[in-house]
Amino acid sequence: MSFLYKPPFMMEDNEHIRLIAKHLSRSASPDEEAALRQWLDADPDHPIELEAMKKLWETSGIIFNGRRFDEKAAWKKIDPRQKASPDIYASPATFRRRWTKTLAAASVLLVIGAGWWYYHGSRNPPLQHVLADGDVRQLTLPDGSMVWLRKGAELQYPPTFDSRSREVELSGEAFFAPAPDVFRPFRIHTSHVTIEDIGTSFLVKDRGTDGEVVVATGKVKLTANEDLSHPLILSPGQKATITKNKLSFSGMGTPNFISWKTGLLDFRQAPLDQVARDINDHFKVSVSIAPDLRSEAGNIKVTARFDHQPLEQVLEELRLATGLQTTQEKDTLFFVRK
Amino acid sequence: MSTNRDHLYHSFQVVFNTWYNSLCNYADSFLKDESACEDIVQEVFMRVWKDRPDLIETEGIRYYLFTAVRNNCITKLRREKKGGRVEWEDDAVDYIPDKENSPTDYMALVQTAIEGLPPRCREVFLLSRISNMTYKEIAASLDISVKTVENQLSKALRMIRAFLKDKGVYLAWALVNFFL
Repeated sequence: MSFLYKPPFMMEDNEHIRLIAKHLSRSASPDEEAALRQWLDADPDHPIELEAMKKLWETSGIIFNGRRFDEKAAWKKIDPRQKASPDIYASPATFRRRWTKTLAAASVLLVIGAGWWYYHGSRNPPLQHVLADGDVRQLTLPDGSMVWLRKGAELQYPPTFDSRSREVELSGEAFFAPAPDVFRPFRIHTSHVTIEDIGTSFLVKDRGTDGEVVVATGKVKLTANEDLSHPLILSPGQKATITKNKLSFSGMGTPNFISWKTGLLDFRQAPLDQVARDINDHFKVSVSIAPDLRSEAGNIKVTARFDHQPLEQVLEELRLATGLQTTQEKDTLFFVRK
Repeated sequence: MSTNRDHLYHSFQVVFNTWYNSLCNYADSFLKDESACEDIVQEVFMRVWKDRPDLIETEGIRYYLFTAVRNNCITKLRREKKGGRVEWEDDAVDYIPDKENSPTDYMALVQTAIEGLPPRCREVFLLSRISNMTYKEIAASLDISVKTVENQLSKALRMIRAFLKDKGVYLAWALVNFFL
């Protein structure tokens, strides 16, 4: 279904509202997103109009979510791991019938587990602490923000966010898609840098002494924890590196910076050295270029796409595409001339 | 050492904390009875843990929760024959708030504007704002077409915007924010 593009100055007054609503609901097609961007660029008043719409949108959300219900009390009633009692499942009647049978069978297990949970649960709710031990761990945070943790990454966050800001702590590598919330900035604390979300989605790598941030969509503001005076703002595709508390802008990231999450490796006229780096990062193997090939590596371009394919297949295709061979020396794989 | 079940329990807790309040507000829009709302939402969560734990760590959990809450509310209203807001009502005549007595606070004005929306329009807008679901998910949850969702949401924004413009507050906030 094609989208009829109308030049911005001819856009009907209501069309921009239709597009903005779709955009804010994450339901706009690529054509519609493009049309919205065109509209935004057409007149300096248009970005202001978008801000006004966003404010209206956010405020409506707050109004509809007007009542505060007591989640903590409610959780005590439904927590599957606490000491069970028939009273919890009191009404309605059908409920009681369904649940008491299950309870009788499970009561032995629950008693064994209950002691531990009762002890831990009786303190103040602790920070949630998640460690990704599988390849990728996906989480939804208390405000609806999505996070994908790469293996070995750890995230700490409170059971409910503060009313003024949303703060989490990260070590390792993760991809964030924070839920939009005009009233509460989303901040990620790593060992040296604090990352604040201005836009929508971005990758953070924290390796203790250094790190990287690459932005997928929207904008992100970076501040070194020990030097608040020079924040850096990144736009989509841009990358910053963090070395010993110093932030520096390092141009454009490669499109494969989240291949671990998507499973896709996409190379378009990519120079061989970048290809080697992306493969290193994705498969966690050591792939390098033979010394006598290095000076030319920048001129060897690869165009290929790999969707959830194993390393051996990827290497085979690369060998065919470049006409090179690979040899193994100790635990590093080298690209060499035939 | 964590097990899969621990992960699931943990995710269940996070989903609960994330959506409990919104779901109760959603149920409240049907029932107008706070304790009944909480009962229904708690029951839905317990069913998820018991019958559909496979959904807990997926993106489909939101759609499931909101749809289940709505269905349970409608069942309850039907059983009690309270009428309430079960079927689509015809769009009422637009309510025009009294100019002299309207508050000037931005949020209160938005609230007044929302109360003036036609019922069907407000229902779709409410679900969108409470759940943040996409058009497709909303359409599936309410069993209407995506085009209807699109029309109703555009209509809601148009009407609220017109009301706020009339009160002179629509752009004032945006300008302040923009030049910070």
